[in-house]
Amino acid sequence: MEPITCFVCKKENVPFEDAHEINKAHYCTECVEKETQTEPTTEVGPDDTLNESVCAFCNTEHEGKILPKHSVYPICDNCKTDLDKSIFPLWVKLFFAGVLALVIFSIFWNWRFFSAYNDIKKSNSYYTSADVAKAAGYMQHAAENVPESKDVVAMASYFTALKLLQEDKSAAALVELEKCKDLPEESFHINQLTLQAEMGVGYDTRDYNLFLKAAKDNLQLDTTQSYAWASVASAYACLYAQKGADSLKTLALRNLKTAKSIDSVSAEYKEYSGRILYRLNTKNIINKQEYDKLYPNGYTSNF
Amino acid sequence: MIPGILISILTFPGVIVHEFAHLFFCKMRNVAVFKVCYFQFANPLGYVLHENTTNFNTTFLISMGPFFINTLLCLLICIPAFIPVNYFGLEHPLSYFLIWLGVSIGMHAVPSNQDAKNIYQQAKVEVQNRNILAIVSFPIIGLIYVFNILRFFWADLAYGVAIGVGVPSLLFN
Repeated sequence: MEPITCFVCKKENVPFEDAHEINKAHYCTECVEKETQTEPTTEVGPDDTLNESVCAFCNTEHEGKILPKHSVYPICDNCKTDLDKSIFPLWVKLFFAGVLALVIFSIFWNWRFFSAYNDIKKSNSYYTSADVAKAAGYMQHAAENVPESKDVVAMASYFTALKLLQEDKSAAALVELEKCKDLPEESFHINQLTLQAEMGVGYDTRDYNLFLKAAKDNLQLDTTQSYAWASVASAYACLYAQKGADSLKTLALRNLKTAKSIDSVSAEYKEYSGRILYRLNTKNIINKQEYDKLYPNGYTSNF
Repeated sequence: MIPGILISILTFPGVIVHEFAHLFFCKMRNVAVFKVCYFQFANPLGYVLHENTTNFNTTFLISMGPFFINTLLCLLICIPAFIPVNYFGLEHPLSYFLIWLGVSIGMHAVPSNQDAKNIYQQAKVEVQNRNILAIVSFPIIGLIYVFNILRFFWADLAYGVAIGVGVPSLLFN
């Protein structure tokens, strides 16, 4: 912008950024400061009279009426209205109304994301504390809020599958695991869980060949786990109970022996091996609840 | 090098909010305002002409107003848009529009050198009266001057992004 000449002191070449425009006249900072820090006089100001009944902005005289002041300048109602309009014009009001409306709309529009975010946090917290049922519930709620997020939907299926596996509902778990097979294997072990679910389905439906196949595939994934060897032994024990072939019993005992060589002390191993031995000795296949009822202190048999 | 005027056009909502913030605190502190320019294609991009005040707190609030208002508004606009984009990876034009709006407003949060100068003029007097705010204002004034130099290196954009994107990512990680 071009430099200006001060209306009061007539100083020339005042930089635009140091200039002030009042009532279409330009002033240097010194004159404005002098004027606004002192009582009004008849010497300086937008109007050089500053008569209390003369509007300093439009120079209109309002006889007998003492005008209200804007800073130290008398101002008439019309000029006050105009000034207010110029200070806060309609387009600025509309701009802020638009921004405000957008913020409010955005908060409501995105509320489901806030909600889903909170549910995911809670879900992860419960999962960390091994409460899979609650973790699954919150993740499922998050997935309902944000169904377009494939990751959240997959995580909901994953947690639900874990919950169902815990509840020995293998067939339902298998359905959920199918929905989350795109999750990274190294973190979620979907293949392993799927095989465990297939073992459960085989056991539940008395399809012991399926049980054996899944148990063997599971063993191939990790041969260092006692549980994996015991699962194969369990499948052979079921087939033995069903078909009666001694070779099946031999295979079951061989696998159980390997499982024992890895872990013979844990409560899980003792419980699982007891059920397998009971099955091999009686050719009777009972579920865990029935077994626990019959042998609350476990079942032992030497082999 | 992208001309500053082009950046200002792209981020014009921030200029409007910046000047509004000055006006808001003028009104709040009963300081008479003579003229407001919310945006112009010149330097300064906008300005508020108001009467002088000898109250340091008022001067401080008026000068620092944009810092508070623009920063707060930037956060309010960006946070709702940030979660679906960043946390859920869901891209929506409205989200990107809001992030642009928020960052634009955040970019103009830091007061100008003229604002800092206004604070400084009174702070050096008030500090003799052991006004705590005046004492605190000196490093703030220094930071404002440094920041305005760093605008050449996009410090304003960095601030806008830090508030509009950085803070939400810290809150919602």
